[in-house]
Amino acid sequence: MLGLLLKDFYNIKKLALWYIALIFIFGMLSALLRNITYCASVGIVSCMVPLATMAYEEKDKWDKFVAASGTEKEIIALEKYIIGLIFVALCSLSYLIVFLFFYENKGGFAEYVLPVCFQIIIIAIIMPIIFRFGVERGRVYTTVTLVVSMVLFVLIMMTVSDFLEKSGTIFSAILIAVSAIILCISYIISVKILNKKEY
Amino acid sequence: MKQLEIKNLSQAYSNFAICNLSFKVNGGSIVGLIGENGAGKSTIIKSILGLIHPKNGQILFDGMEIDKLSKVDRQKIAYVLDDVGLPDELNLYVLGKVMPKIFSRWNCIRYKQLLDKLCLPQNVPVKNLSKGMKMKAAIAVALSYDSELLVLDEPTSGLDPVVRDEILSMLYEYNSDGNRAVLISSHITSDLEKICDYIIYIHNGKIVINEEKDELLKKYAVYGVTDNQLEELDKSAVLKVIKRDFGTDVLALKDKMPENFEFRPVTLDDIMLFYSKGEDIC
Repeated sequence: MLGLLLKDFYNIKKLALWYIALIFIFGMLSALLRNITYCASVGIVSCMVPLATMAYEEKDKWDKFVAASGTEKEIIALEKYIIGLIFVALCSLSYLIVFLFFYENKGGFAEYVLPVCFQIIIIAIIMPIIFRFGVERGRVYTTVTLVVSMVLFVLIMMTVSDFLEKSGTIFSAILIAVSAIILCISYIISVKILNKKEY
Repeated sequence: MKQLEIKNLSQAYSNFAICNLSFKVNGGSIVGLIGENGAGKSTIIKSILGLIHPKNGQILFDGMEIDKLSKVDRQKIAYVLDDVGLPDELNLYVLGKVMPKIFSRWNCIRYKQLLDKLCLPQNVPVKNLSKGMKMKAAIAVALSYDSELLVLDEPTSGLDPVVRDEILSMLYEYNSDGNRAVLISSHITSDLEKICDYIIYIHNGKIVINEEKDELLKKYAVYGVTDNQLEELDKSAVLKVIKRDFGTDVLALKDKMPENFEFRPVTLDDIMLFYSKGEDIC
């Protein structure tokens, strides 16, 4: 897996720097405007990075090359999820800094957990779609998923802040558990898709 | 010596199918796979590499089914794909850092030696290499980890004669230990005539020829005959005929043809042409 990760980071290093810059800029914007929506919503980046790596692989036919190398499908899938989770961590770190130091949070810790878990859920939904249809063919599905997710996220953030203030801990625990379960199910589905895939 | 064995391989797509293909690639041999476009050569190679899942049949490597091999055993089959498959944004130096983490028996020293021998620049991204250089890089990668079988899908397609000769020399060198085998598919039959020990010709989804190359080229010849001469021929000597405006070309067994008939030596191109355009003698 280290080889696959290394290849991806070399492949997308310029793109990754842009994404990190975007996370930083949106974080700064949120800090200056005292509005966490900006840095919370930049979590979309965490979903785009694995897609970008898969787009490169399709173009270069590297996906075919690595499938023929005998590398286990579990590892191939896991590597993409790890890339996504690395950028979830980066986005979440930026969000955490704004959340702790520049935002008067009413909903408590739950208001932090919600967008982080949303990123994880979006990755969980998108990854099997891309493994199944490829980046080009899966573009419509992923765009719809991302737009719907963004709208849902903003609506939820606007409506649940009072609820989070009262029952935030239970809500956070449930959301973290659900996100983890969805991610695991997504991974299992992705591996099944890769096992059946033909090149 | 490891052996690759294909048993009754069948696969069907909407526009073509391969049916019950069986052949072996013995250790120490170079086997050439020829056939028209769409004959099924790439399908066979993809099946061996686990890139497609055949409807029927078995593919055995050293007696074990390919899809049950461990990763280490799977990597005893090296490969060069027709579309290369190396990441465009990486240069060959960085690729040398990535590949040891993918191939368990990667040899860094051999990789560097191959890059130097093939005069491949290490600091140029793969996307900026010429087609010939990309293919040479793919072959360098394939030869940089210990393997027992090398499978190549159209490795010399679109390359100039100089590069093709270099590639063929590398394959010959790979095979020279007498244990390692090569399975190569190509449209450039002159390349296969230079290095192959065995030729497998796939036509309409079936194997029509599976013979030792030298024997094959010695056994058959191409005769130009008139209609009268055609009538007189021993029908069992004739494989295929192509009727031309100026007479008839005949692909026939040399030892069954009259000695006074002029012939020219057959090439693999001739065999393919006769099988695809020719008719059976009536």
